[in-house]
Amino acid sequence: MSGNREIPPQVQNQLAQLQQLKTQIEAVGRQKMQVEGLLRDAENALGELEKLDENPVIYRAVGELMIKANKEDVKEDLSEKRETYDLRRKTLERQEERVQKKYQQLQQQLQEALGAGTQPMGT
Amino acid sequence: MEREVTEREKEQQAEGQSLALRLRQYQAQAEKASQELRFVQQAIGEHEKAIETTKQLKRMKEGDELMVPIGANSSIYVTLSATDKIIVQLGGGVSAEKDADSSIQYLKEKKEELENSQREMTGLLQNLEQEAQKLQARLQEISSRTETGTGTGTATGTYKNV
Repeated sequence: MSGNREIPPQVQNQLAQLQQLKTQIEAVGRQKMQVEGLLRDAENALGELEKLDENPVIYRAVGELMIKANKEDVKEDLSEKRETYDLRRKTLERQEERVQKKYQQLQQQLQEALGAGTQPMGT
Repeated sequence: MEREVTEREKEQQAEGQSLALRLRQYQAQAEKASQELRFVQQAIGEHEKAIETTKQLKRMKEGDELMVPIGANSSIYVTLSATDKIIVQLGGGVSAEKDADSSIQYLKEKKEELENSQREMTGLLQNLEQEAQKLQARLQEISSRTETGTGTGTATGTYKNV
């Protein structure tokens, strides 16, 4: 009787995979949030730069130092950063979708397998 | 009759497990939201400090002596070379020089944005707490029903520690 309640090794393996995918989804989610934060930061800075006078005194952070910089150079630099972050965000979004889909597929397989009791899985 | 009771028990146990899982998810979300809220509150405090410092700076004059903290409760003496030049961070590793009034205005705007986030987060946290309370009540109901209905009470332990 108790033998029937044991989880087959194949299902155990799939459960471990499911856990891994969940960890992966969380990690990608965290990365995406970080990149979104950086993107917002760069966009805000670009917006604020536009509001400044014609010849503002601007500094760029280089490690612990603040180095005087030219407005146009800083704008160019921030625009490049914005493009890079946007690209990274899109890549992470695609990655997140892919992993999420895999997770859902595996979850469904597992539900079917567990619902069928100890019958061997057909997949 | 005996078969019917077992089915009901199974259903209750399944519902209890599902509720316990949702409760844990709410708790994790609430913990994360509380942490973010603390960061936002800290940032609001920093903005208030910067606004107050800038206001005080306006009352000083060039050549006045100041003590600037360097960490570990230690300070150094500095002589003020300008009272109308404040460097504020714009984001993206970029800072700009502004006069005292513009700086205060800028810092106030940023503080307002943070306060809006604080309000949103507080609302979210309250909703999460309400939802969690509802789930907790339902769990207790199931748990007590299991105890009084069958006398086994085996599922109680599962719900109590969530």
